[in-house]
Amino acid sequence: MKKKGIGFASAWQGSNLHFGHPDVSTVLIELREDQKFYVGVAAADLGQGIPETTALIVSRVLGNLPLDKIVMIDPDTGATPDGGATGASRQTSVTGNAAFNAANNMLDLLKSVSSELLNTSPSEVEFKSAAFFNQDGENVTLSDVIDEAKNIGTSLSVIGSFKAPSTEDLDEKGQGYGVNQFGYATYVAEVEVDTETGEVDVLKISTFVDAGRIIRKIGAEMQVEGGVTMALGHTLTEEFKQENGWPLTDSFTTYLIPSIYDVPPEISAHFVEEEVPFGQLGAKGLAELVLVPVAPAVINAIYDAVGVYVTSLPATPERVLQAIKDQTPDL
Amino acid sequence: MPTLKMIVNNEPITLEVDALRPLVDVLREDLGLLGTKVGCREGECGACTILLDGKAVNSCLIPAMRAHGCSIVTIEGVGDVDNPHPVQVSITEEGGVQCGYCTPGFVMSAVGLLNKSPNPTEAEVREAISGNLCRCTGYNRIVKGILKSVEK
Repeated sequence: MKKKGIGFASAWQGSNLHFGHPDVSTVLIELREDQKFYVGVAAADLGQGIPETTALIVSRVLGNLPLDKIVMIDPDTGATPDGGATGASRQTSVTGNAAFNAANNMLDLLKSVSSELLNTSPSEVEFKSAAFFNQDGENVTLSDVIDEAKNIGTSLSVIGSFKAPSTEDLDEKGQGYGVNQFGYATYVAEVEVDTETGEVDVLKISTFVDAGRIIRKIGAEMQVEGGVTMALGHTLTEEFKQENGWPLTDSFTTYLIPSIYDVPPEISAHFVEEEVPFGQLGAKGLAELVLVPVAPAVINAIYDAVGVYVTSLPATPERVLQAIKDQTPDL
Repeated sequence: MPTLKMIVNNEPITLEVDALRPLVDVLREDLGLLGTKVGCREGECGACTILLDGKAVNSCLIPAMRAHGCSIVTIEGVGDVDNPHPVQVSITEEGGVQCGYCTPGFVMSAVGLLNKSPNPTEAEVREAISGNLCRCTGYNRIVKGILKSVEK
């Protein structure tokens, strides 16, 4: 018989470097002869899309500058400032705020140079549609500003840095400011359990995630869907077996990561954009947070369906069936 | 060593090969076609998918001489940045690419499907890529991308 169930779970997960490790990123922006803004930061992209996110932040600060005017320099600590490790769900928050600061520094510099040409003060200059306007509506172009910078011998190159609030190691009672930022998430899992085979079919996962302000929605949704899929693996199929220190599950035939048939056709992402504890950007990391609620939500849904708790992961058909049998010995 | 003659991306190729060498190694090492990826070498992950006479196959499981007299298409023969295939455009637009390692294999499986079924159903698309593993995306955006490329 197949029985359906629904389960909920919530999680919070710290992001950024913890326990006293300084967490800093620096972003370089340069306006070059071709009137494009070159943005450099050694922040590795593992597929999460930090170059696209960084370009979007710079674009928005610079008056929604078209993205084809922004060139991301390939990350390289030998050629670009260090963004720090891609880990701890930190790049959008830390490098994102550094990009925000760098873009504001660039804006200040450009206003200062253009104000000479517009016979006004820097604070009176407005930058929009890739041109600089004074209060009388007179304007100069990026090209004019680049020429003026050469005339006065100024480099149109800035950096912006950001350091997340310093954390500390926890004391012997486990107390202290160890983590400067948490993300929060609540998930709903809908499953169908086959009571004869113990197989669990995940029908739908709905996610509600607070990662502060979402900068690039498609990127955030992609992280949620990918994270949920990865977590479905450790929840239902991925079991690392070893014997005397030798791995027994050393291939994709024995260590089962989710295939397309293991993933529900609908993983919905809803974002709850609450205020964040620091940084003008308003964003928090979400990459790791999005995995956490999957296992408890699915295990609760299995309980709702068949009335048994599976207490060790992954909840393979064998374990689910055993739990059902243990509860009803007459079966 | 025997002489292997095959067409690769519309170009005739002749080379001396160890007959049982996996075709993926010939493509990558001898021909420098690095777009075809090696994931598992046992036909489980689909990263090395190519077209052999129009049909999607795992090139890690094909002995080199099996390709003798055949026409091979790799991801390089499908499209590139300047001239992408509609499947490549749509998968990218739909957000079906993250780290990208599995992507060439998915594109080849999709192109193999479209060769035999130009207007596939969603179920056919899912079946066609069921032999391709992806750790990043959760698959649904890849499905949407392939279906969208057909609508165009």
